[in-house]
Amino acid sequence: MKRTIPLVAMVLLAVGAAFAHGKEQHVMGKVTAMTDSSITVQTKAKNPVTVYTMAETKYEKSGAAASMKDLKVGDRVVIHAEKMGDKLMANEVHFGVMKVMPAPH
Amino acid sequence: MSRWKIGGFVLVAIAIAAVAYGALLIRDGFSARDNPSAMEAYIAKTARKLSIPASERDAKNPFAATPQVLSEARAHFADHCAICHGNDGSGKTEIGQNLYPKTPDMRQSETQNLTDGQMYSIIHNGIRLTGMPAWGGPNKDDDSWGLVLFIRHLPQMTPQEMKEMEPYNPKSAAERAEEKDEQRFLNEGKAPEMKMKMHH
Repeated sequence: MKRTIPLVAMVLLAVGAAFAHGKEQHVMGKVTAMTDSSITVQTKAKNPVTVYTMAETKYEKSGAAASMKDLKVGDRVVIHAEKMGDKLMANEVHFGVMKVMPAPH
Repeated sequence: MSRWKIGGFVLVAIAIAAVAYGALLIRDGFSARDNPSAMEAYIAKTARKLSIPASERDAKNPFAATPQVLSEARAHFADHCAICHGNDGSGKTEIGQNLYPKTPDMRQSETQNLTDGQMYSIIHNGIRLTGMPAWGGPNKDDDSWGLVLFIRHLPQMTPQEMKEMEPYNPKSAAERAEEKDEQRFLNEGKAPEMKMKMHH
């Protein structure tokens, strides 16, 4: 048990602000580098996390459909990603201003 | 050979096949991970087809696909159905892809070729031994007819319509809090504190 707690803490730090959501992880941070097929994000824990993009990856800027070319280094980003093998693959990439629609009555 | 003997052989052959199939099922376990075999899918679909009386199968939708009816059906689908079927009807959801059988892509011909009456019957009565519950009460219900119209509209769904469905998707308090955290981070740059989350 004594070993388990630090181990869990280390794993949490290693993934930075990456939260699991079912099989998804939410990676939150600033974009530090981009290639045609990947986005590297500096998370709050100061760990760079690289997420790979796919043809199916959806991009959303300020609530509207966008593309990868709309994303720039330095942008704040929230990526919903799924672990495939040893890589994190992006399902959704959110940036810009996020509007949360109110829950219906 | 007499007819009785032939009949006897056929019965014994059927019994042996049934026992062998049962043994296979037991050997392979009852996991929901697999896909149904072609034979199982054929038997199940045929049984489902036969179970819907002709009068119900040929029933016509009493409602027209007006913007009002479709809008209500979209909200209803997002609230009740999308957790398994997805807002877009693709079935690509965590629950849908782990059910036995997996939820179908309702935009495809296998669903779209069903009659209105067959769709209504499936929604209203559910399908035994699958994840599809019976949504209707003992009497006819208008909501299921609205959903039939929505399912017909699925292949033409727009991103805007999908967006309008999102507020109606059921979310836990933790998911709403997580969404708020993400909103605060994107809008104000305030990163949430690290916390351990219990997800399945």
